[in-house]
Amino acid sequence: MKYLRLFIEQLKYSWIKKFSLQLTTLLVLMGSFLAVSLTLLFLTNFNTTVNSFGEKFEVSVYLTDQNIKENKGKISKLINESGLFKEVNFIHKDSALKTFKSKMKKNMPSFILEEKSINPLPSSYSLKIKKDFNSKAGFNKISKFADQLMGEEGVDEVAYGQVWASKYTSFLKTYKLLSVGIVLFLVLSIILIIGNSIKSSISQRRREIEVLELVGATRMYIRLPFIMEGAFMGFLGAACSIFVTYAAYSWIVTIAKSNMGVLLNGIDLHFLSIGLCVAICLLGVLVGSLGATICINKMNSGWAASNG
Amino acid sequence: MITFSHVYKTYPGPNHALVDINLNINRGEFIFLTGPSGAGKTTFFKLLSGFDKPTSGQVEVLGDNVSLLTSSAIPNFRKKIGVIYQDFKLIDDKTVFENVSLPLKVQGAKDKYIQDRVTDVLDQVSLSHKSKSFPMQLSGGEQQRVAIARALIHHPSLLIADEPTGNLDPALAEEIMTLLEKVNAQGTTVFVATHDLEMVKRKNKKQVEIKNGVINEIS
Repeated sequence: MKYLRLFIEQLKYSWIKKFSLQLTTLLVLMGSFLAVSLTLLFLTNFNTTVNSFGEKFEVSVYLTDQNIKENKGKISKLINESGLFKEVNFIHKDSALKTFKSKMKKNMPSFILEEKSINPLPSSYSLKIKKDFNSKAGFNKISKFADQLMGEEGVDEVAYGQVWASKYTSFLKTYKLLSVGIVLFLVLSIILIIGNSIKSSISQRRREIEVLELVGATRMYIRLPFIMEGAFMGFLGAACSIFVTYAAYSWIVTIAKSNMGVLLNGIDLHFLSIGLCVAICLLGVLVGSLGATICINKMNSGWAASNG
Repeated sequence: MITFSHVYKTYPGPNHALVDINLNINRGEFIFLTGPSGAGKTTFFKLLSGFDKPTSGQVEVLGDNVSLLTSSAIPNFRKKIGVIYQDFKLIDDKTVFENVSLPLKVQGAKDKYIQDRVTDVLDQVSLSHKSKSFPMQLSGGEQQRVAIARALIHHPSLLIADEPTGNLDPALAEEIMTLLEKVNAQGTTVFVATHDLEMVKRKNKKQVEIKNGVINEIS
């Protein structure tokens, strides 16, 4: 309670005495946290979108026409035992032709329409991968399993968009690394910004700190209000940035839905989760107090008043 | 109450600020520390008030060995003494009441006690009517009386004043010295560093003279 009162006094002092400096610091902090929030927002939606593409990702196993009944059972067993797929559909070649015909309609090649034509389409398995395997390691497993299937009797070909899968996973990894780098860089900048703001508060109150030392104030008594001020500035910057990010997000989504509805079809956009918002605010508190602590580390050696 | 035993203080240079100081001061005494500028008065004062440590020797104040005080023990030591400076060291944007109450706030005293005690001590220095004023609205003498009130607010056993009348005209200086004598009469040990020899003569108190870092004379 004593420290809370000191902190409120400190806050009032800083905002009343150096309003423009405090406001500028808050705006700069808000800008930095805005960049963090936007990076995370983009990462969240990018992940969701790419994962939704990944969930639609399918593996097709084409079978040869010879001994199809014997081979089908053996291959089906292998697929189920792999545990990689959430949905396994066997498409008989007749069924494949029927679907093909219904899709092609008037564009159907004439040789297929002939009465005694041979069905050129193979029987196949259409496999939808599990969410757990929607990663680079998962794709490696699928690739390995595909190679194993290729060696089985009765399997003609296994197709799963190998090149796309490889690019998708490496892009995702690069983007995540880049995001982590950006967030780390911004966090360091925020620590510096808050440190400088606290340094300014300290220099404004140098005289008071000296007097506090004279009358027997402990290190905690002198330092804690500054640390709390740093934490508060960090929290305020983070909270304001979330608010601004939400406003920007709502505006962009509204514009995008009215102007680019077709492009957004199937893309489900999300704002940052409550958990992530709380995490950003906590990050603000953490980096704020860290910046302030680093800045005041050399302050109040216990003998500082004698140097005044 | 205060004991200096073979105290040396040497600054880089080397500059020997204090050389083999031996001194014993009893409870309730009023002592003047005199000497020319650069004689070592301020160094002596810093050691006495716990703002510096001796290079060698022992400084014992109110039962604490200043030489051995750790950073965390210093605040507690300072709560036992009252310190007055030539430049008053008041906080300009706090009222007289707020300045005086600071030591009690630091000690975590209750609001009611702070209110009563500040009223008492301001009455003692005849500044009750100025409790809501800011230091810049006061005369030099009044500012020094606020500093004295702040130094007395927590009932210190020892009051240390470094040139408390250095910035004041003779009339105001006399007023401040009379106030310090009143404090001493109530049982507080008072230690005043000054170079105003005329005033020291007039007051006829115990005097410790320091010259070139050595105690020259005790009278």
